[in-house]
Amino acid sequence: MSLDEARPVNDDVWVVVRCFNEAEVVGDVLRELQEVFPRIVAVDDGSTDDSYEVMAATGVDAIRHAVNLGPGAALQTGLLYGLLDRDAHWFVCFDADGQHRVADAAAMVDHARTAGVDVLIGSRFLGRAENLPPLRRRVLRLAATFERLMSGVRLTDGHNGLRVFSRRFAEQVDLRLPGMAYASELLEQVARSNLPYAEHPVTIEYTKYSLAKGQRSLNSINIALDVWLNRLLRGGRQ
Amino acid sequence: MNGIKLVLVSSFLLLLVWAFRNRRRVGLQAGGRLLAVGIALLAVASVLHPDLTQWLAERLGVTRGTDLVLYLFIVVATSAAVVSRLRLRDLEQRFSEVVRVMALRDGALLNGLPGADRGTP
Repeated sequence: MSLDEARPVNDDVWVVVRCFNEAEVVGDVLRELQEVFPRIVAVDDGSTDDSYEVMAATGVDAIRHAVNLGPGAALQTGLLYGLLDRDAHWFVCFDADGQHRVADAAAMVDHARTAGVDVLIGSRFLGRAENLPPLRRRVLRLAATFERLMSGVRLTDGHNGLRVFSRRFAEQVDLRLPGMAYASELLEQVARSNLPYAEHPVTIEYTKYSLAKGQRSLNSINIALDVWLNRLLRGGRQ
Repeated sequence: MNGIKLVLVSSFLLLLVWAFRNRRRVGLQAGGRLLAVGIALLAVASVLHPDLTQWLAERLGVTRGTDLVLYLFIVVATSAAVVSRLRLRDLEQRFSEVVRVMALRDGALLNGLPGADRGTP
């Protein structure tokens, strides 16, 4: 048996799980991921509960921010950690709140490998969104239109947290915006990279827990303003 | 609003946006500081010669000196607020980078370097 054959499947994939106060569910999420993905980095973004301890107990690579920096910063940290592994070729972004399915993540990695895309983003509108509140559905549709106008990226569900990146795209990711505006910032970087991207149908399961913790629809106004102001006033690096 | 006012207002707004986007250029920084010194000297002069603002206002097409002072104050205050916000954002970014480096370093120390467990061919 060759060394390549002996390696576990998805040995060149790092799953990045961002976590902020998800101690109740993150342990189960990580254990389910471990059945398919051997390399997982769980980033605790300054949680005030014992999320970090729960994550560390599962045996994944648990790292923590000393203070809360936001989801974009946590994703950036996770990607940089995985990029330290020179044999890492793919990166999966997976939420800690139990909304994503491991089977979808595995299917997306397979799709990305065979289709030759560098960025693959899950779409609940091509797949299924169980128990998605009607207002949230309309806001997400509006967000897709907003993203098309701002970045030129044509996606049905650009703010879906389940994503797969190739190494060459992950190396270009540089997230700086606060809060959930990082998702728009990411799409802008997809557009600027000129790398091939695509969508993949996924199932998002909204539970009482995830809906209670999720962002309010009104936050879309903050996101839009953050994105627009950043475009208008961004200066070069010092 | 007549045509020339529209052109002037639009030009100044675009100039402002350009200045903020290029705020790190040394020349612009120096220019901004010189402008601040100029406005401060103008303020001192208008205290010593109270008729100065009215004289300036008439030459610029503004009816009253106090209106000119108000317009200048709005420009200065808005610029200061935007500059402060941008500086704060830059500072937050630097802070994030420090927190990130600490997390990566501690993570690598605790878990071993990512990928170090792979057997070499």
